[in-house]
Amino acid sequence: MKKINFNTRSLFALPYVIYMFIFVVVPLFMLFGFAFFGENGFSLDEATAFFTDCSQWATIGRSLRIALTAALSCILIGFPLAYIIAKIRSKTVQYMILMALVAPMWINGLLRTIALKELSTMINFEAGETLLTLGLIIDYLPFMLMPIYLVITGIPKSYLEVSADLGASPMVTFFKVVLPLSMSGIISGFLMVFTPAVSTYYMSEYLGNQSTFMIGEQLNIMFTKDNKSGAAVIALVLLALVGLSVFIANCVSRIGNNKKQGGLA
Amino acid sequence: MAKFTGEKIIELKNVVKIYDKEKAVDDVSLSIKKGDFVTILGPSGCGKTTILRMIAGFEQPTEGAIYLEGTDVTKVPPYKRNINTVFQKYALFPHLNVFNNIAYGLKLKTVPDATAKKGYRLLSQEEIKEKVDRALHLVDLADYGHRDIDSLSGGQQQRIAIARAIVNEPKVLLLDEPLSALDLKMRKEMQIELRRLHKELGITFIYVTHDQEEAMTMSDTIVVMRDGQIQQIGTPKKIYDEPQNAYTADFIGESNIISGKMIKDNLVEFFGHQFPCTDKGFKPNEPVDIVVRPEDIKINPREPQFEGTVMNVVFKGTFYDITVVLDNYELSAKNTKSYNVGDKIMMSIAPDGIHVMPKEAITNEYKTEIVGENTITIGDVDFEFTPTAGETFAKGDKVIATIDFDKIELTDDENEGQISGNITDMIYKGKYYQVKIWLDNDTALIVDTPYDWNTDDRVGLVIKKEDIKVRHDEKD
Repeated sequence: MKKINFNTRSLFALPYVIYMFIFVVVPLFMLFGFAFFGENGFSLDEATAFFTDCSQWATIGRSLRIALTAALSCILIGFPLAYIIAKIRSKTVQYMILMALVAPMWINGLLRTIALKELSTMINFEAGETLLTLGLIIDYLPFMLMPIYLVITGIPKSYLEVSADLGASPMVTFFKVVLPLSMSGIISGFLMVFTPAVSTYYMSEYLGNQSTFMIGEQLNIMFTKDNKSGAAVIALVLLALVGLSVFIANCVSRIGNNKKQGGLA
Repeated sequence: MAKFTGEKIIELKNVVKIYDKEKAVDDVSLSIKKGDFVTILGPSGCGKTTILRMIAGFEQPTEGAIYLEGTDVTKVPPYKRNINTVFQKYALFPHLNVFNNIAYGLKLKTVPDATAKKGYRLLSQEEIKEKVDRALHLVDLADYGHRDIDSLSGGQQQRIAIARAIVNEPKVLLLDEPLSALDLKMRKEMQIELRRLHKELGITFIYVTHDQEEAMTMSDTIVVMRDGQIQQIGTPKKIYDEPQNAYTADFIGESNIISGKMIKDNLVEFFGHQFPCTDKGFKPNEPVDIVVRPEDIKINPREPQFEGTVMNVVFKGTFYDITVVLDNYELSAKNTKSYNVGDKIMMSIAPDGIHVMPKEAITNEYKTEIVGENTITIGDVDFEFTPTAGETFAKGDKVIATIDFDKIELTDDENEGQISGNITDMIYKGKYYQVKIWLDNDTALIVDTPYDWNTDDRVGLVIKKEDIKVRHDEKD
């Protein structure tokens, strides 16, 4: 008889495997079940209804556009900010600034959104796509800032010295060394902003108007109508969108570097 | 430009670099000839890398100036200096492949071109490819252009780092311990490789290392450094044969360092015997250090000078390493014949095998002040002393305390000592070890100790009050 040899290390993984099974694998199957199985067994009715509805496609397109605008704006603001913070000599000052930028995250997101809404009403700034995008940028900027900051501070000083040694001015060094080596942080940041932004619900609810109707809101409507099948279809669509964006982001990072550099995912 | 010998390419004038109040480089003046292979040699922390970084432009000297071909470049940023560096940890760009790493500098380079609008232009793709291929060929990695950096071994990465620097045809190539991360075999190969490259390219090489063997093998000129100061500059042979002081002698090659005294010109006394030597110019009976290389001790010669007992014999392949004891001294000798342990043997040293050097100091002269009745401070700690009759001291007086090297006792446990410090240098002097100890307030004491310590050891020091002799500081 062969003795069963339990690898102790894989034994430690067991709780997580169980956890993953209950909270990831099972719900995923349930999602497919709700989407494609009605009272009369397998049915593509809800899916067909969703995909043949032009307004649904418009909603998806709108959600993508708003989330993309927010994520790209976060890169434009977050990268220079992270770079400047990383260049500050004193680590203490660096941490203090980061802390100040991240601290608002400690306040409940819904509260912050409502506060922003109140603020905009006070200055007569109308709810709509601009305010919604602004809200997303303000809310998710720390998610962009942190990964980029970490990547920049992780670039060895010797790379910058070598670059200068080989004749590159600080400006050239920035574009030829710092930026390419920060790519993985930018990609991570992008995904961390884009993913929640594309499926946001309360943000568009409070800061948007009719013309900013996003897919998260559509999901909410399905739930209030108690249409589980419809909700499941939308959930799967969102899943596919996020999966696609991760895939594209990783492709971009691979093109940016001729060496494979891990982004998120 | 015609290359003629003696042309200075790099010149350092009274360069001082201070980091956090500590002098990393202390008034260094140095000129380097065009086409030379110069090695700056010294233990870690002696300031050699700082000098290299100042030549490259990464650091600015606190005082003094650096000249490149006669032009003051002290404040010129690194990217405007025609100097390239090979770093200790290669620092190849991970986001670029081998070809693009090497081409990095070339893509930024401009060449004069009368037909171009601005009078200069960038190199063309073909020119870059040709130069990169030639550089890859020079470092024996011709077909590696497309490879990723992390697919290369340490030795290959180092070659690429060298190729990346030399492809720019710099006036000076700086190498900062470039071989220290490689294993011994690879290091030996690269030493030969570097030597070959230096000959083929004709570029001035400035090489920094703590490895004396590496320095001896490769360089035309060696600069020996210690505590931020230059100890000696010379050819490897000159530094080996005529070390300027006991430190250099100890650092370069194996040597016996013996205390003795100079009787008169060409006659020195040690081991209780008098030996003819080639040195002169010392005061009669001046205490000196004598350096004798192990291979200069002849065993059982025709005209023996002194006798000793064989204590240990180790076979080293081509010779025997023989330890001889006489008069409490341990002497290291090299010989092609083996002897038995316990054998009494006769020895002699030819006059040119004896190198006489002035002692760096013969006693500690410690500048301090009176802080109480018969009390001074040494390294921020109060010490009592026995005053010599007739001398009176008042609080605040500036004084010099004299403590003989062998009157300071070292303890392993720093708490057992009255003060503590770190051992920075150690030289074996045949009978005892001479160590330099830096106290915590940045002053140093020299101690002769019978025990073998390690550099960087933290030790306690015990000084008896009757061994501290105090006199007024005349200059004050």
